[in-house]
Amino acid sequence: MKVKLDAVDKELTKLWEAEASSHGPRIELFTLVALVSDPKLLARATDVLSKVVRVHPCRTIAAMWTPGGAPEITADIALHKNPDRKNEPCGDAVVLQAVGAAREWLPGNVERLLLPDVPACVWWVGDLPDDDDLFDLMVRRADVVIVNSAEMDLRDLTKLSEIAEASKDSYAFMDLTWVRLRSLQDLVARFFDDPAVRPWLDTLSRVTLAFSPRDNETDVASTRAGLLLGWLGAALRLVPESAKWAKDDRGAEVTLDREGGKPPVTVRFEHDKRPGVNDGAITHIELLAGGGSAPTAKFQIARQADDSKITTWTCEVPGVVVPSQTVRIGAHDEARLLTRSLERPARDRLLDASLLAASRIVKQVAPRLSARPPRST
Amino acid sequence: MVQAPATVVDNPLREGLTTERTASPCTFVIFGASGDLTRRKLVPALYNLALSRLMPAGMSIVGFAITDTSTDQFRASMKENTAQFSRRKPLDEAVWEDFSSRLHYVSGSFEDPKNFEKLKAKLEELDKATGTRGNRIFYLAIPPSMFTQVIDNLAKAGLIADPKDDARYTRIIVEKPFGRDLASGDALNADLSRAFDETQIFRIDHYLGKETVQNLMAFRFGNEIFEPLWNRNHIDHVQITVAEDIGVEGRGKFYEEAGTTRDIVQNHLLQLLMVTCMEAPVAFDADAVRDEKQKVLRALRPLIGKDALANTVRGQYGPGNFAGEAVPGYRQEANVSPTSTIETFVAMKLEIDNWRWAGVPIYIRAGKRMVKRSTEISVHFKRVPHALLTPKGPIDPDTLAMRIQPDDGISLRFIAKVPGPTMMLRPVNMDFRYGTTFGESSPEAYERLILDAMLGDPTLFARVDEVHAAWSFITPIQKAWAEAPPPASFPNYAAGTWGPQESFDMIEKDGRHWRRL
Repeated sequence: MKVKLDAVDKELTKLWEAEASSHGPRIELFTLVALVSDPKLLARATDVLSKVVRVHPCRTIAAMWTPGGAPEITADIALHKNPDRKNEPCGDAVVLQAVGAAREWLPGNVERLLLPDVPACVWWVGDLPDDDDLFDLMVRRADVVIVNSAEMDLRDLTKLSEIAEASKDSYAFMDLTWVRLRSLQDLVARFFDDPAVRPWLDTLSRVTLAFSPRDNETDVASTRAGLLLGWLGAALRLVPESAKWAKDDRGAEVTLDREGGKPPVTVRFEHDKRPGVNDGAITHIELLAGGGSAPTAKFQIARQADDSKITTWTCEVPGVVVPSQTVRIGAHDEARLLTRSLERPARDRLLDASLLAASRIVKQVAPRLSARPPRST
Repeated sequence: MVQAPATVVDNPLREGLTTERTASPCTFVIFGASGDLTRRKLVPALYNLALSRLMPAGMSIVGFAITDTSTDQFRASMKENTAQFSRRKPLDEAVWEDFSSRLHYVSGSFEDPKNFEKLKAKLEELDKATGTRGNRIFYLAIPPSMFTQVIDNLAKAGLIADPKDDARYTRIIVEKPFGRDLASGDALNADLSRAFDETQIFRIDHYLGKETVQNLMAFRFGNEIFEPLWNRNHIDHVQITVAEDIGVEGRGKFYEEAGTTRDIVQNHLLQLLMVTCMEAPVAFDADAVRDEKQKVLRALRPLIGKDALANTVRGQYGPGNFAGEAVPGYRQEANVSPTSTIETFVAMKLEIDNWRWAGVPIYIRAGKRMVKRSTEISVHFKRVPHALLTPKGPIDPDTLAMRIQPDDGISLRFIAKVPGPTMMLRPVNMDFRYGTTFGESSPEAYERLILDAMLGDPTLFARVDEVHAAWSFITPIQKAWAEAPPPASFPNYAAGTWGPQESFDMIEKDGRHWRRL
């Protein structure tokens, strides 16, 4: 329903009152603002919001802009309904569309529509341009800012690291791709939870990360693989300045010294294009430890060929019996990732550290402010 | 203090991750594997842990029961049951295939020590094949009358690790009821402690695994606004109700032995009371939490002899109707004596003699075949000291209700002005519903508790002194009832009602009323 900008709250209240007999209390935990960087992404963004709000009842504001034309902002309102709960309303749905120079008016109008006394979460939908004052203005009043590095290039990890660093005293910075990595990180970590296996981590020598590349991929790794590298780098205290890169036909690898007198670690990135697997997704992780005259331990996490959501976890360590395990890594669509991000809308220091490590390690092969223009979306 | 298990030590890859640790490899042995609890709760809970990637790779599950069946048949039967009873449907075939390869079955009676040798051989075989390393969790999903025999045979077979052994662990999970009175409860605990150290014993009360019960602690100790009011200065009384709408549902034999007091009050209801009334623990760890809970039981004013009779009400349901259908009375249920004097309802007025709660009565009630299923704790605040706004009558006091099931949540009833030219007041509700606020389904209580046992965290399990204190309170009441003439009025409430009139009389003579649920 189209309404005047200054009547949004009043009209939403009327909609709730009209539904009063069919729903419980009006619960809104936060305001979720989706900043839609491209009009083509609006339908995708509103679909995601409509799913997230079923789990986290909240007010959603989808804000988008189209260039050209006389400056104008319009507002559309509705109530989100939850089909899993007899279509009960579960939040306010506001869509703000700015035309031309009215893009500049969005921050003020969004701020006026933020619910009082609950967090404001800003989700930037799409690629994040290097310099966008709208982003800078919007995050000023935000408690949580969420991006998706999967929409970006490897070199953008530096930009994200800078944003994370700059946000330390203001908002919690989150990345949907980082959330997606949680289950893989857990599977990698669990190899070494076992005290009998743990010492092998000190002799880790080689890590292979296979990922599904984009068409005509030019980066040595997807941002997801880059983040995983950053995480390993931060957790294992690999020295970014020692990075020695090498490229070949099938991929690239980097060798990094490790603090504490431990042997250097080589991390190899390989392309593994698979149908039905999202661009950038990690398809296979292999860790080798030991080497030289010592027996070798091998740790693998491999997506199955016929069902990429099923993963086989294998731990082969001399003298230790550890059965392999089949696990499902759930369907991580954008809505699910955003939902999970909002479960713990707090600063994630591990993300900060991993972004910093990743950006420093990949600097040689994916320099920021290079001659390459931003990838077109 | 709960010690961090060795698995978390020095794994730099764990730092900052959501899952702080994974459980060590182990074999989970279920005694009573052919029973209802196994098929409805335990195996579905274990499967859900596997689905959530919370089960360690080195994990085997061994069912042990007298029923003569094979491992293949056991796996097939568990698949069918899990498909039916798992909270997540449909069954994930790939995960189930992996999970079911970990299921094994050993048949035999619990009386014969030879069967424990057979079990031992199986466990040792699994240790070698699946890397379970001698770590064992024994789950007694069997009647308490069999506990002693099983414990003795486990000890004789050398299946219990020394608690000081750092290389392997043994834990035992026992289901309530933990005895049937103080003597038998103490005897059971003595049997357990003859073979196991207290750190190895996990007494499960599934109520403590419920999200909403845990939320009670979050509510009380995570908010500043309620705790200052949580005492005799502001609270008039507290009510705790555990009402079931079902009858004994084929458990007549069990119920004839137990009754509502042993089945519900001694464990679930007193647990709710403890969590509601405990002081803030110094830390959220097993001993600190359980120390505070136990203090509540110690401060409960004993109900002995005449006091017990004056402050308690027993009931038994007769025929009635529920949801438009005629339902039988308790005495007409299968395996129930036609002259049974077992209570299917109990209400009590309790007092806690400590600084915080002195003079605040706690009314509790639990029963079967009541109007509806409802478990709720309600805190009734005192009236405002002066009825400034309604000179003609008192203002209704505020009430804070914490619903455990169904529709779990919290509601605060307070006074608001009715719109209009006069100062008319009316109570209104501010409602928080778990399901609406957090749209995702919570893990089953058994999932949480089994995982905690695998991780060695006993915070949500009952400690021996808690059980002793609970029986010390309940046993004199049972003694007073036993010494009084048998209740001639039984059955004294019709199925589908809120219990006997005496229960209403008990609270109303104090000028209070049971809250409408």
